[in-house]
Amino acid sequence: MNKPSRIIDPAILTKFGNLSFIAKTVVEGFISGLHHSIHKGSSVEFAEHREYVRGDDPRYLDWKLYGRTDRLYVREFREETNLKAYIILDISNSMNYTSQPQFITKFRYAQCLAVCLGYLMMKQNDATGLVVFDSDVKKFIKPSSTKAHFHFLVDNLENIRPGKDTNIGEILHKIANHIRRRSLIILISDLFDEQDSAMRGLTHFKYKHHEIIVFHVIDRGEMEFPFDGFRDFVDMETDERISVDATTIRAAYQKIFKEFLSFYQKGCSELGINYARAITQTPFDYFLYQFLEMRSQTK
Amino acid sequence: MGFLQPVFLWGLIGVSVPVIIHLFSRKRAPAYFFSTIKFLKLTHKKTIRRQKIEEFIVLFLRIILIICLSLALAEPVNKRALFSERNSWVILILDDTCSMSAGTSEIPWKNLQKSCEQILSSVKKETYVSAIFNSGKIIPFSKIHEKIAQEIRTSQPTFMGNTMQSAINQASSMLEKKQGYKRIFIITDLQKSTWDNLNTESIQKTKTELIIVDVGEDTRENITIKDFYPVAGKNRYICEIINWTKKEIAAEIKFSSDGYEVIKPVLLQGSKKNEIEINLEKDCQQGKIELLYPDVLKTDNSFYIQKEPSGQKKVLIVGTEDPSVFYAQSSVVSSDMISADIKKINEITDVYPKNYRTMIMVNPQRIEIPIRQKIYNYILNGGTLIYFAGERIAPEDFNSDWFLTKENMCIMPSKIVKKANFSKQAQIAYIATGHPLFSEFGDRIFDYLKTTRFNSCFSTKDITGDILIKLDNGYPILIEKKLGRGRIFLFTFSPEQTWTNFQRKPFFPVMINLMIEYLSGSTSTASTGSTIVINGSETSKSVSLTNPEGKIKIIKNENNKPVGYVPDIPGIWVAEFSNENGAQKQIVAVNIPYTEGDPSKISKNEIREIFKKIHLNFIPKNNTEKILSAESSGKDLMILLLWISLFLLLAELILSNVFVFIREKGIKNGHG
Repeated sequence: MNKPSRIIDPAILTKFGNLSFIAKTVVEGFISGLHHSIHKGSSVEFAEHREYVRGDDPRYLDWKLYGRTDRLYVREFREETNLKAYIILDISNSMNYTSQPQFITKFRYAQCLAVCLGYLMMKQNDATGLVVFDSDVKKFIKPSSTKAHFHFLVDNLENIRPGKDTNIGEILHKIANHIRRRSLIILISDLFDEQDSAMRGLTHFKYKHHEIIVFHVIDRGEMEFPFDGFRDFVDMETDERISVDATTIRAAYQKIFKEFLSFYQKGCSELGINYARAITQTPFDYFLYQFLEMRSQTK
Repeated sequence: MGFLQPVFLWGLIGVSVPVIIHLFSRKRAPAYFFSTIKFLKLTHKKTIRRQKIEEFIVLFLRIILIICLSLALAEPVNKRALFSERNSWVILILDDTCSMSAGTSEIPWKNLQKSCEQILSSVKKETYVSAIFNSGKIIPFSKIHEKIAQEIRTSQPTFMGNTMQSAINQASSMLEKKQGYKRIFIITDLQKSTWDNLNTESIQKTKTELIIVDVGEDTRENITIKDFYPVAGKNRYICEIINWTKKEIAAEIKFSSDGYEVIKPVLLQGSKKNEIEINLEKDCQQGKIELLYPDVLKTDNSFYIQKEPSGQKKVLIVGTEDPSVFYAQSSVVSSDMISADIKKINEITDVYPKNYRTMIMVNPQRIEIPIRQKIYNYILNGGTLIYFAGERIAPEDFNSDWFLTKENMCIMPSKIVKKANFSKQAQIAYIATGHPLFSEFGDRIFDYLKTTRFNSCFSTKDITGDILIKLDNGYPILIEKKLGRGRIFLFTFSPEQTWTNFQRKPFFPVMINLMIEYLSGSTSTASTGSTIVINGSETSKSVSLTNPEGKIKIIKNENNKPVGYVPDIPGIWVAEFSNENGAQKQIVAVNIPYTEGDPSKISKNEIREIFKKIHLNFIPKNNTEKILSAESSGKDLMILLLWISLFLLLAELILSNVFVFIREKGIKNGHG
């Protein structure tokens, strides 16, 4: 895997291209020669012959080759990668936030991330599905690995708009119950919900032997709280309002937010879930490259 | 309350500015849509409460600051004090008692005059002003303030020691029906005795503001003569001197009478009455005793005495018609100089030392409480009681019900136990020959009494007096006790044949007459300011009254009642008149009430206690002008308000910065 040679600002990229174009630009830029799927599939394909040694399972002896060569060989197989993956996208209204008008919203970033992942997996013949939710599941598209299906996914992603408030914990349970076959679950969310409940939802997937990747989408403004003076902050999901002196509470806010991030990072690590924090100001290709590199190292 | 610059009161609208800022500042703050406020809530919850309190404190300071500043600039004034309205009534009560002339450096009266001038100059033209002097002089309500000021300027403190009562009553009646704003200034040295037993009920109803102006000295040292009176013994006198100070004072007393002088050095113990005995070499009818010590009252620190005019003494014999009374009466009337009235116990209505110097009670019946009280007061004021116990006296009655009901009414020199009948006749074994009664007889007295026998007498116990005669069987038969200015002689027997033959002996009437003679020499004194009744003047058409300065005043008597007068200066006052008995003369020594020499002052709290419902203010010494001008201009209040404003401004600046500092520090430390 090559390091991306050019890094394109997500804001610029999203300004000029549709999702298909973004996916192509981002993924093609760094995955040429990519041999490994991001998913470890369960089906197998023939790889090579090996001379039989005692103890090998006689079921895998290639009798035809024995007939031709009069020597015993066993057939060896390798894992197939084009298996099922579900991209679960949080479209709650909190995702529609950006701290700077020149940056893209978390929602847009998540959209792009989803389509890039979809493109990446289509390239590897992995079947990709899509689940969109806010306070409830809004869309459920079953996985498929065809090109046409990828375009169908892109169309759907293009047309979704941020919804209401969120209820991640409950939704994850719901989805987990729905997906019966072992799959790759990719959750893209800001996880602004009751933390323990969300964590229980993720645990449910793990219980069902799914592999899970969490892309925690965060705006830098949410982390740094770069505001000053008295302001009325209005919750984008609930419209609740609070007046605070931003200057005076900044340090305390940062501390609490850091604890929030650590909670998910630590929680995911304990469950064996891949956790990646996606700061919306980070270019997609750079982020994906880093993620895949990290993943290849841990594989 | 009013304002000289009311336009600045518009500044009070400024109060709304911090309130509006406080209330609307947050609503006008930019609304910012944030992904989630749940973290803000967690942070904010910890700080919001304290922040709200801090904001409120700062808001409060700002509001008070604006109010104080506006009020200060508006120059507050007490409109009532300015008396700018019509129907304002002011009465000056001037304490012109003798103590107002007292002082070691500065005379309170001068301060009083100065304070009055200042009060009058602060009063607006439309205000009615009156002045009432403690001594009784009244200047009626007038708008011509200068005239009142002039009268006060020319007046002097009196020699009297009146309380405030009459002046307060007078002021109350003058203000009672007046409408409008009413104020009384009492200008006084706050001497304690002036405020004794005041009834302030009348003034409570007038809805008056009372201002007490202190013009007295804070500390001063004084000693005064309280009394000077003769005691048993030839020309023996007791001079009672009160040392008001706490320390021992050495002084001299000088008695003078018609060129005869006696000077005696005395050492007076502090904070108490000192009794000094003086023996004169001659019998003086009239005299003056002086304390050779600087008197803060600025008088000559003297005390005048006048003995009762020599002449016939009158004795009251109290008892029923029985032989004992006969003996008593016969022993009294044996002297040409003594006359006697005989009354039954219940007929005693007026018994004063002036009427009867001596009262002889013989075997009296039970005495009711009001009469006991009269007898008690009679003795305290210099009367003498010669008491013969007899059959009618039940010991229980005598001891418990008669004189011992109250401790202060226990006038008898001993208790009587019971009648003792002697199996063997008793003789007189002991006589206090050194006693003035018997001293002139020497030891010959036993010869006079050697045939005297006693069959019985009362046994006694708890003797508190001096035994003068005792029998050979140990029973005392004559006991003497001093009480107030008077004395009691208790004979423990009845002058009857069955008891003794003493009354039939020639010495008995002599002894009784000697007693009366010795005990009738009391002085007669009166106080300035108190009424003196001229006895016997009821049938006289006019009385010629000569005061100590020699001024003669004729008092006409048209009511056929005894004429009275109120002496206003100390000294010897002489009243002359004629009635059916011919030309009469009443000479009275008048002295300044001794309490006027008391330098102790009444406290503010005590005054507040006296005038419970009255709105009171106090003006300390030498502050009248300052306080009145400050009151009318409100400058002091204005300055105070400006200081408060400055303080609030500083407090607001400091506090708001301290709050921010603490908050930021606390949050950085993660305390929220």
